[in-house]
Amino acid sequence: MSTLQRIAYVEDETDIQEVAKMALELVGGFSVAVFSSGQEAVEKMAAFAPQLILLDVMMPGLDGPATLKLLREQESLKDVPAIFMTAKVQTHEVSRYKELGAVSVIAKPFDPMTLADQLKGIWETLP
Amino acid sequence: MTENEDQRLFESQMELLREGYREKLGQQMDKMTGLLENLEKSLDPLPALETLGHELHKIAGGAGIFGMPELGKKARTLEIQMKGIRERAALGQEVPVSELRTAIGALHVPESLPDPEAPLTSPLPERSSGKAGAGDVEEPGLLIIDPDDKRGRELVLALRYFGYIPKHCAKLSSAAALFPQRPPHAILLSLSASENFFSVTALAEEIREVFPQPPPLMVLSDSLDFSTRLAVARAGGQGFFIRPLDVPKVVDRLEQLIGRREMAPYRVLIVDDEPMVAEHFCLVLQAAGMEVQREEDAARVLDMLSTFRPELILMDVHMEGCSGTELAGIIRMEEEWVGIPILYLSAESKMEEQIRALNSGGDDFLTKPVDDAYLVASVSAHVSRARRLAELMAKDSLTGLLKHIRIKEALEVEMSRSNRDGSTLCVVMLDLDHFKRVNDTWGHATGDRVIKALAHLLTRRLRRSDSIGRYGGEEFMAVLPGCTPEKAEILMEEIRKNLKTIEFHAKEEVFNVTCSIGIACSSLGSSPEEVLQAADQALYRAKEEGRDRICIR
Repeated sequence: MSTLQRIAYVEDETDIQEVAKMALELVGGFSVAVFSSGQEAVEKMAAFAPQLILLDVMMPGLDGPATLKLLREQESLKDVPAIFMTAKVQTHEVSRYKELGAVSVIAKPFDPMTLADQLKGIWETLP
Repeated sequence: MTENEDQRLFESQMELLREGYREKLGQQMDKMTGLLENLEKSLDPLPALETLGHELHKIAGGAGIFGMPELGKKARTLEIQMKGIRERAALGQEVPVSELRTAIGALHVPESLPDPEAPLTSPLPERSSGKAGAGDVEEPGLLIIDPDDKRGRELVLALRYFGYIPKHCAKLSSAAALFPQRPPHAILLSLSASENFFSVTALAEEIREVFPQPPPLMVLSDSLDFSTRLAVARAGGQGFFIRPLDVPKVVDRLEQLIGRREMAPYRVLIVDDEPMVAEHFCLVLQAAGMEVQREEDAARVLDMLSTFRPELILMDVHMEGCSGTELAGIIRMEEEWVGIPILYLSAESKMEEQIRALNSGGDDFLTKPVDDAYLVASVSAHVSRARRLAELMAKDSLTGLLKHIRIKEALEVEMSRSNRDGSTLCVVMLDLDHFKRVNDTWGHATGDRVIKALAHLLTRRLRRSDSIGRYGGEEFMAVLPGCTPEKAEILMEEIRKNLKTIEFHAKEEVFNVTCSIGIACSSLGSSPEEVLQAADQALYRAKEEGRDRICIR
């Protein structure tokens, strides 16, 4: 499997955007594209050609699951592994997110220091 | 860049971001305060509540990332509570603006913002729908027959402290007039030395004449002789006490005879994806006095378990998406729910199918169509046994109160309930004063009697919906849902005074005990630990200030 480099990140909160982007770029050495809304992600993400999609669940307008559904309709993003980020991590919700096509769920608040490692860990388990 | 440089850069940038976030938090707080102002003025509170919920959600998600996990947790708790407030507001109920202001004011931003003025534990004002402090439990009536007027009146007073309604008369023949509505829960017959040669059969019959269904009889006597005891036994007596009377001992026996408080209704969760069927079962069980909730979506059952906390699950075997047996498997994976009875409902009549279902974590199988009476009987039997078992495991053997761990669980359950319905809850911590002295002077058996007496006082005076536990050796804890601190104080003041007046007899001596009490009230945004800690601190203060008193936090 190829090395993880390009991550697309959908998050409406600018503070969290910044900290996550920084954590992923500085600590993880990834290249990160941030999208501030589901709508923006649907319009622009394909051009970035991400290897992994990171999505906040609760966003105004298009929420995470709805955004993912629309992204999946695009040929180039159809099979890109996606990870949800949410504060509400309960067993049955995890299974619901996975049904929606997410490979994993990351609990919020995340630790900026270990976020990159967490993603690398998930990436390595993927087929 | 080397890794170290990266690390340093990361840390310095992180610090900048943290600072920036803190500043923005201040603005967010201001925004929320502004929203609260609007809330008071606007006719439609829903948009403002929605935005408030969203702001809280942002803090709940962000604060933890920026090194303020406590703030994040508090915002999360409030965010969840906001959901309930919004739902109630949508139904036209009033929005608790001032409580919200207190709770939001208590969101503490470390280091950059001044301490909020309002303390987190400030009590919520009483809600009109709130339950009364006491009195939704019927107090048991006692008939005291004593030819000696003064002695009879003294006994009336002593028993009143324990929450009974004792009535005194000199002769059985005048007793009926004292209980015109319903017979007393028990009869206490006090005999004088000269009366001990009464006719046995006559007494039993006399009682039956007055009360066709005779309540339990207890006899108080000066004499220990066998013939009197025999006479009492033949008259159906179930207790025999020698004077001078040890009232707590009498109460102990009374409690055994007339039972503790009434039982709470059975809680049943129905999981069925056919609404009509579920509705029918629901109505049948509700008609039998049970509390029933329905869930059509198997994915939400685990949530329902933790919020509704049913005592039995009635589950359809064939459901779309997730079958009953699969769902039972999921439920049984959670340690907490290993013991909950699961009854399957299905039209399946094949024996091997039923056996397969039972092997997958179910307790019984009911074949549709189920006879209503059979359904009620089956559910009752399973719940009552499960309850008895749970009680045996949960209760302190000396007092019959909840054990330490269980009362803390009860607090969590009640807190989540009160968070949902927006009511307040009080936690009471009670500790016997100088209890070691009692044990040292009169022995542990006497000490145990004191503990039991206080346990009886508490169970008698508190409501069925209250939870009471033995927190430690001589320390008790009570959870009073839907109760204001004012009401809790009145209630506990009564218990404090009553305990003081009870005379304990030991080694030919009479002594009294006192207790110290701490009360704390929940407020929006407070966690079970915080309320418990506040009650504990109040108790500590009561001790510090000289014992035999109540302090409120």
